[in-house]
Amino acid sequence: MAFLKNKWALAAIVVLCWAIAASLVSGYYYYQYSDLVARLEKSKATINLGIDYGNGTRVWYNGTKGVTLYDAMLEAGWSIDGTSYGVMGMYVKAINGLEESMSEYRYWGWWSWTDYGWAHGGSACDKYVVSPSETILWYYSPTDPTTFEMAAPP
Amino acid sequence: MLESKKICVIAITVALCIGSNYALVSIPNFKAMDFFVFISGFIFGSLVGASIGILVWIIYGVINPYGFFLPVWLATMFSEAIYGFIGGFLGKRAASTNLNSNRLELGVVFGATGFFLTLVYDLITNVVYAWAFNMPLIAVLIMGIPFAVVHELSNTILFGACSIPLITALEKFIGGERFGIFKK
Repeated sequence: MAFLKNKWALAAIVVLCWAIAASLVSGYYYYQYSDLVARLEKSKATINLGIDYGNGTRVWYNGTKGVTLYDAMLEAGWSIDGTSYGVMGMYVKAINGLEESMSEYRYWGWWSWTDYGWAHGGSACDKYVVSPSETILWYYSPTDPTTFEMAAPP
Repeated sequence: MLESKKICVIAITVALCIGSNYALVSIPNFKAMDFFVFISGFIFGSLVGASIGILVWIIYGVINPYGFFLPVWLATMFSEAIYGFIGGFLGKRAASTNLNSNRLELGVVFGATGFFLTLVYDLITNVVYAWAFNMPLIAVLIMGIPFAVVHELSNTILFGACSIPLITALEKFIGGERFGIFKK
């Protein structure tokens, strides 16, 4: 076993073993990641997403896909400015350049269409998993200065 | 070596392998058996090593806590014999090598041997498993990676760290086919 004297040959063997083991592990995690992405893609729901700027302009993006409402907003190509509060989710401050206004008491809120009319969204948009064919509207809502209650979309 | 002594060694090693397998049954893919079969081949030659590998699986494969399935059983039996066969081959190649003066280098060689033999073992058994259960080969190979990596790394450490001490102890105690290596 003359190669025992060749330190480079031994180092090459060690590196080869490490490379094979690392390749196997990374291949496994790549497969898991691809599989997860494919599953998430399948689980995306198609919704009717709209935005109301509170000035009479309402634009609909029907057939938008997403797992969460936030996904769907990004899919629709909106520009969103918000702050993430960890497990509480994201607080949206501005959409497509229109920022909330504390002086005018106007804030962004999302509403879901039900048999009884518009229902205020109960959670942060990135925590809300949308259902197929759901109709969701982002509304630049006027807010009551004393109760901070948001007005429903017209 | 005397035939009776050889048979005795085979029987004891087979019993040791089976006993250690049942003792380690709760730790998936960590087994000392591969190491014992390899060392048996290294000391007593390829034929003895391969025989021990086959005999262990004849018993452990039939009375197996994870169940019995003929194609997988045959694959594991054949694959286990490779450890003993290659052990014997390496034993002959290392006959003129002084184990004690090349501990680190031989440790690396034994560790790498354990790694590659286990890689071949896992590959063969996974291919047969996929074929026997009519499952997609790539999926079986990929899903088996975590188990394979544990198997390979544990065998690399075991082969690399424990081979020389065990070979030295066994040859001092009972001798072997490559007993001549201790003659300076």
